[in-house]
Amino acid sequence: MHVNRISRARRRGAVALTVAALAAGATAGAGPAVAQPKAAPSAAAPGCSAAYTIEQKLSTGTTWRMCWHYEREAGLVLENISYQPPGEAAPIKVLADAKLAQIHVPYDDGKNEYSDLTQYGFGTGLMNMQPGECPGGTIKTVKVPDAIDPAHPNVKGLCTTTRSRGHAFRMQGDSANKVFQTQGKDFLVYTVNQVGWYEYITEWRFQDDGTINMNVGATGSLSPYDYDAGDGRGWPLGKGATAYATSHQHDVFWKLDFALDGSSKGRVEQYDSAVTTHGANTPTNKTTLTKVTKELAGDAKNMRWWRIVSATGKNKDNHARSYEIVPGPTTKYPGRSFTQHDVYFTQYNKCEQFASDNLPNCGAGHPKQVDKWVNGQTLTQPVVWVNVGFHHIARDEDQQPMPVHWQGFSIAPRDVTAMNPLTPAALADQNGNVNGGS
Amino acid sequence: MDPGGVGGNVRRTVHRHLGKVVAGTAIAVAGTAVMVAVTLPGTAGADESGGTGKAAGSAQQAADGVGAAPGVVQQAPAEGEKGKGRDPLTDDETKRVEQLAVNQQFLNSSENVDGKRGPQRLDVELADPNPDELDNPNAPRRADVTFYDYKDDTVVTKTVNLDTGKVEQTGTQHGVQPPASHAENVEAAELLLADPLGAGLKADYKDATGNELTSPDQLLLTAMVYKATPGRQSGVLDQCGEHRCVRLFPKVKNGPWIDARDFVIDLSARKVGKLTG
Repeated sequence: MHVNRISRARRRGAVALTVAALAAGATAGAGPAVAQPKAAPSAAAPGCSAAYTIEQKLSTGTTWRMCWHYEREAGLVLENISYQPPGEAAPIKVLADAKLAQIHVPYDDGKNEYSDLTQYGFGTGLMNMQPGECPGGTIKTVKVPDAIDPAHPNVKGLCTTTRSRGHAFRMQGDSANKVFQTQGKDFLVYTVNQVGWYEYITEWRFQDDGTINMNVGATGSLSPYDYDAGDGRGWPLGKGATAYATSHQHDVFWKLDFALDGSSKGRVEQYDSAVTTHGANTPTNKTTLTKVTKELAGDAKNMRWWRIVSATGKNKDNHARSYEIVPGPTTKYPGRSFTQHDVYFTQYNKCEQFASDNLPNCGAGHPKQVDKWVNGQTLTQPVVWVNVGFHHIARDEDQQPMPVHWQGFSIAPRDVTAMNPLTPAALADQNGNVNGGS
Repeated sequence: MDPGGVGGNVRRTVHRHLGKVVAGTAIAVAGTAVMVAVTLPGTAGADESGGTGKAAGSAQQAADGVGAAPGVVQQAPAEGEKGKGRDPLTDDETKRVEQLAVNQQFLNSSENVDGKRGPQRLDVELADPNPDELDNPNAPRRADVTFYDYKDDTVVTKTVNLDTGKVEQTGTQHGVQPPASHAENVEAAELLLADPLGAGLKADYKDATGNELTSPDQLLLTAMVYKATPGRQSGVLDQCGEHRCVRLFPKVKNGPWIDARDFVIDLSARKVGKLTG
C-alpha cells in the first residue's frame, strides 16, 4: 500500500495548512456547541489560588489553565497561561502575561483622539453580563477597582465558556467509509467594557490545537454626537445626505510576555520568503531566517512572519518549541509614530505597560510610547506588542445597535508538540517520513 | 448601568442636537448648550420611527441558542487577608499599601482634589515582577500605588513589597495624567454645575428626566483626561496636561448620555473652559 501511504501523508500536510488558515481568520462562528465548563478547577494554575484560576478541559482532551486579575486601565489580565494537549504529561507554559496595551481612537476630523485605556480607564467600565451573553458558560464576578458606579463595585463581567469551531481536521481513510475527523473546540474568555457609547468585547479564544486568538470587537453605539454633513469626513447614515457619522480609527494594542516552557528568555525569529520567476519555468520560493537579537519595530509584509522560540523546551521530535505570530487583517494608521508598525519586540521593562501614553514611572527622559522604546537593546527577555488597526467608515447597518466589528490576531503553536495534538490513536505512528525514507 | 444590552428589550433612541445637523430620527431641541441622546425602554415589538421596527424575536433567539444554557453567575471569591502569587490584591492588602505609601511627611505636604491635606489616591495595582524574577513562581508580591498631588501637579507612584512591607521605589512625574478617579469625576461635575458653562448640562438633564440636576450623585460619571493641543482650546485651558483636566461623559442614572465633551474642567486650577477648535 505504498501509494496510499504517500497520498495519506500529503493529505495530512494539506490539513495542517487548513487549520493554520482557520486560525488566522477565526473570530466569530459560534456553533451550537453544548458547553460544559467546569466551575471548580481541579488544580490551581501555578502562581495563583484556585479562586483566580481559570481551567478548562475541552471535550477533545486539551486543557487550558491560567490565572486572572483585573486592572483599572487594561481591564482583564491573563497570566501563567498553559496548554496541555492530550498525551502531554504536564502543562506547557505559553505566556506569562497577556493583556490589552492600548486602544487608540483618532477621529478623521482631527477633533478627537482618545486613548481608551490610559485617558478613560478602560477597566472601570466593565459591564454586567446577562446570562444569555455567556451561553453554556460561567460568569465570574469581578471586583472592579474604582468602578464607575461605586455602589456596585462587583460586576458580573467575566465569561468563560466553550464553543465548537468546526473541523479541526478531516482525512479520508483507506477504506471508503473511514473518515478521520474531529470537530474542534474552543475555550473562550471574554469581558465587555464600555467606553462612552462604545462597548468593547475583549475576547481570548483558546483552541484545542494550541492556537490562541486575541480579538477586540467594538459594538454599542456610534458616537451619537459626531454627525456632521459639512466636512466630507463621514458617511451618511440617516435619510438622504444629512447625518454623516464621523469616520474614525481603532488601533488596538496587545502586550504579550511569552514564557514558553516557563522561561522568559525566548528567542525571536523572522522569516521571509522570496519568489523568483524563471521565465516559462515554474517559479521558486526561498525562505530565509533572520534572527531578531535586538529590539525591533516590525512591519508585516507578504510572506513574512515571526515566531518566539523556547529557550529551554523541545518537543518529542527534539525540535525547539515555538509560537508563531499570525497577523490579522489590519489597517495601519500613519498618523502617529506608535501606530506605524505592526509588531514591536522590546526588552522586558516592567514600567513599560502601555503602547502609547505610558503612565508608569520609567525614570526621567524615558519615552512614553512603544516605538521609542525600540532603541537597539539586546533582546534577552522579549516582550511582544501587536498593533491591529481598523478604520471605521460607518454604514447604515451600524445603527442600531452597531454590529460588532472585530480586529485581532492569533498565535499558533509551531513544533510545540511532535504531531498534531489531536491526532487519532490510529494515526499516531505517522510522524515524519512515513514511507521509510524514499 | 444601562440594562438594555443584547436581546430582550427594544430600545428607542432619540437624538437631540443643537446647532448641528441631526440624525435621521432625531428632533432638534433649542436652548441647550450640550446635546443629549435619550434612551428609553420600549415595549417589546415597538416600532422605531424611521427604523426597521423589527423587534428581537424571542423565538429566533431561542432557536439560535439551542443546546446552550444561559451562563451561571459565580459570586466574587471570598478574600483572605493576603493573596497568593498573582492573585488580585485583597482589600486588606490595598489598605495596607496605602498606609505604607503615605507617610506623615507625604500626608502633610500633599493635597487632594478637594484642596485638602493628603494626596489624591488614583489606583493600587498588583505590580509586575522585576526582570530577574520573571521565571520565579515565588516572586515577591508587590503593589504599585498611584497618587496625584494637587499641590504641585505631580503623579507620585510607589512600589510596596507586600512580603516585607517596604516601599521599594518612589517616583514623581510631571505632565503625566492617568485616568481620573471617581472622586475626581465627582469634583469635576461639581465644578461644571457651579459654573455658568454648566447650564446646558442642567437643561439637558431636566429635558431628559423632568427633574433638576443639583448633585453629581444623579449622574454616572466617566471622563477622558484632556491635554491641551494647539488650536483646540481657549487660554483658560492651555495648561491642561501640566494641570489635571478632564472632559466628562455624564450619563443620567438609568437614563441617557449627555454630551459634555465641549467642556473641559481644569481640576488643578478649579476652572471650566469650552473647547473652541
